[in-house]
Amino acid sequence: MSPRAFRWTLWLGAVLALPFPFAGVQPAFIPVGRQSMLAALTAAFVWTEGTAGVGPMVLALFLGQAVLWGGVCWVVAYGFSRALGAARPGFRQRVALVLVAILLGVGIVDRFYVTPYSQFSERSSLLEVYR
Amino acid sequence: MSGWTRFVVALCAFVTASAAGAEPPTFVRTEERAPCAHRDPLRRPFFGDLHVHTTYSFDAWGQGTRNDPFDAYRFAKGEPVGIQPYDAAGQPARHIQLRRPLDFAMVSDHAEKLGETELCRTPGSPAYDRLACVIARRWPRLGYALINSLFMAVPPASLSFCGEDGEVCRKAAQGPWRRIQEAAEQHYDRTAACRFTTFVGSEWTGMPDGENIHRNLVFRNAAVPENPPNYVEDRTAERLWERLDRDCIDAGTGCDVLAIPHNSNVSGGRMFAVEQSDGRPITRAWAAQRARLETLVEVTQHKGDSECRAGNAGDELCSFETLPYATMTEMAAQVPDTTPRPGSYVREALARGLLLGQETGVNPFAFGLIGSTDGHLGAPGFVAEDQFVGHAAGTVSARLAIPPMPDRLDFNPGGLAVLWAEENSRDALFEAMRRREAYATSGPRMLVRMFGSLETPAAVCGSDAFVAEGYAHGVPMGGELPAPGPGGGAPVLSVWALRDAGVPGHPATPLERIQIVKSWVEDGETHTRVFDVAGEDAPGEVDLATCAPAPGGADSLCAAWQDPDFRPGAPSVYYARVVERPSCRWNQFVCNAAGVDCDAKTPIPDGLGACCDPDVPRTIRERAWTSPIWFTPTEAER
Repeated sequence: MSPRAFRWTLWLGAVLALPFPFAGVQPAFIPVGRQSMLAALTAAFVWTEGTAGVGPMVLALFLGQAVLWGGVCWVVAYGFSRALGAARPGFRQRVALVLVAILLGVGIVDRFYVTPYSQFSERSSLLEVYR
Repeated sequence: MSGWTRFVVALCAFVTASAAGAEPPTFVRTEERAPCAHRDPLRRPFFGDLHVHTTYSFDAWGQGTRNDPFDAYRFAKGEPVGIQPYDAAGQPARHIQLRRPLDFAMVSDHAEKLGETELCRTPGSPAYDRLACVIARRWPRLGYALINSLFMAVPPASLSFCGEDGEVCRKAAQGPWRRIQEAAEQHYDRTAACRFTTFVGSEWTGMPDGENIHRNLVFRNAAVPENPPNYVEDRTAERLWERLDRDCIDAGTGCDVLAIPHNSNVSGGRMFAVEQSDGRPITRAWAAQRARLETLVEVTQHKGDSECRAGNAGDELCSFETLPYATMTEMAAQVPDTTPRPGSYVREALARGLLLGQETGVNPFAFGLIGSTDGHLGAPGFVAEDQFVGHAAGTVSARLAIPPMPDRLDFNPGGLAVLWAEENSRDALFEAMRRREAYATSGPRMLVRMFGSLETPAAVCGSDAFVAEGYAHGVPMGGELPAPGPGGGAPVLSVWALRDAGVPGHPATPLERIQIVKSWVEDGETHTRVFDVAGEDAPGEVDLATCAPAPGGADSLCAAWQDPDFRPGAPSVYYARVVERPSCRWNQFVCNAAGVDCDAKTPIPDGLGACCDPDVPRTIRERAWTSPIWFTPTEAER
């Protein structure tokens, strides 16, 4: 696995599974992927219903924090890839798979995501986050 | 005679101070119904809630409320109802029930979004699959924030699927509006037993710039407009009043209506501004229209108390459930703002009204006082501090799980409306509202009567003749004293209060004192003074561990108080405030039930950190506020 692929794999795993605090209408603890999804929904709402009300502000909150935490994920992934830059591709691949598997595994098993925007539950597992 | 016996005797004297008369009613009957078997010409107190939301309100639905107006009236009559969260099979996680049924209630769902909510929740409706509806159902908290705020915008916006003229949603609103009427009809007791009265009603939810100018609309009988007036179509109070006159009072259908403003505390000063909505000066016609349509104000409810601002100079008891926000937007965002905004509180409005009355010839702020809940669970009158489960519209939600602290700490369970009427029927209660013979309580069911007269009453406190003499020689709460004439004395206010009798296992709190709040105009300026007229403060505190109220207090308090500062030429207004001994606030009951011990080494349970926060009040002084009595001097006396 090339350092570039390693970096992207780690980043993708983190944005999909690593929870980050969301400060806004209702405090949440969700992955960047979920924040992006809510940002997309809000953008679609603003597109169809206009800019009156808090829509643009909510969109900015979702988008801004998604970009912020996505950037943090990128920096961390970049740091890992630099640290393992001299390692053999096979080793990088194993590290990437293990890290992503831990992230996804813990996320799927434990309901530690705080999801007040959900229709179903205030605490969710990773699978429920994207339901 | 034991204390309890004395209390029961006093209660009997208080309520049955008159014999049921055989005379015809003094109110006009506008509907077909059996006359009530128990009619009292000297009037009885009826307890109710005129501000209740059900699943038809968008914000309640978004919070997972499933109770509809039929459920709400069942609850008001004493039956248990389920509340959120609901499981996958639709079973509620908990049930709630009043310890004492109400005498009357009104479902007042938001007129705005009534049609939108109906369309979004009804599979197969033309808007069911529209994005806004999908977001509202699948991501309810997001939908709540986005859609609710459209109506708070300037100008308020509707959802695009309503069409350019809003006709789609207006038509859709007729479904829930019809069911609201059906529920009111089904639960209205038209028999001679007169056990329970309903009113058809709605809430006009005006919110320019996030400043609250909401009004609840109470319709006198079953004759109501085709659609409830709403803020999207009528964007000022003046437009609303025009609509009420045109579509109801002057429509020739037998329709009659009152509008009851609420939450002036977060109106940014708009509710009792001394100019019209467009900035023009108040005219006599404007003042007369407002005074005619808005005879009552909801002074207390779950979003705080609107009597007087916290820290009001010389009146420490103003610090009762006051919110540190000036507008609804600040309240929602929890951004404190204690900048005084004149026009936000009832006490200053009553005083301003005297001035405006001098200027225009009509006092536009000659209103009486009631309390209600504004609960969004479809649960009228659910006001007991130890039963509070949150109000179900805001940031703390029980939609998905029961929160450890059921609501924001600055909110409360709300209050009740009490009407002195001859019988428990729509016409009798409506006329009590119109003549302002009403009072507000913060929840307890204390009994309060007040009469004003220009002569010292012969009947002493506690006598059977108190009420009959009060009516014969003066005016009740909500009334206007006549001019005293040459050499006339100062007004005498006779106030008699009995503590809430409580229910077995849940005794109520004794009374601490009665106060008279007087405002008057002198040299073109308003003044206010608070007088203690009966009872007194006593040592002792609430037992926070058991929530036993502070010791001391009285079962009954009474005073005949003559204004020592009366100036015959000064317009004046008087209302009574009846205060209980301190008792536990709802959050202390929650903390006790959870077994939180702030001195123990064990960690405080999640979500209950406030239990050990010294800045969070743990006790309150429940109270009642009577409608005022006015004294307006003649031109010659000024």
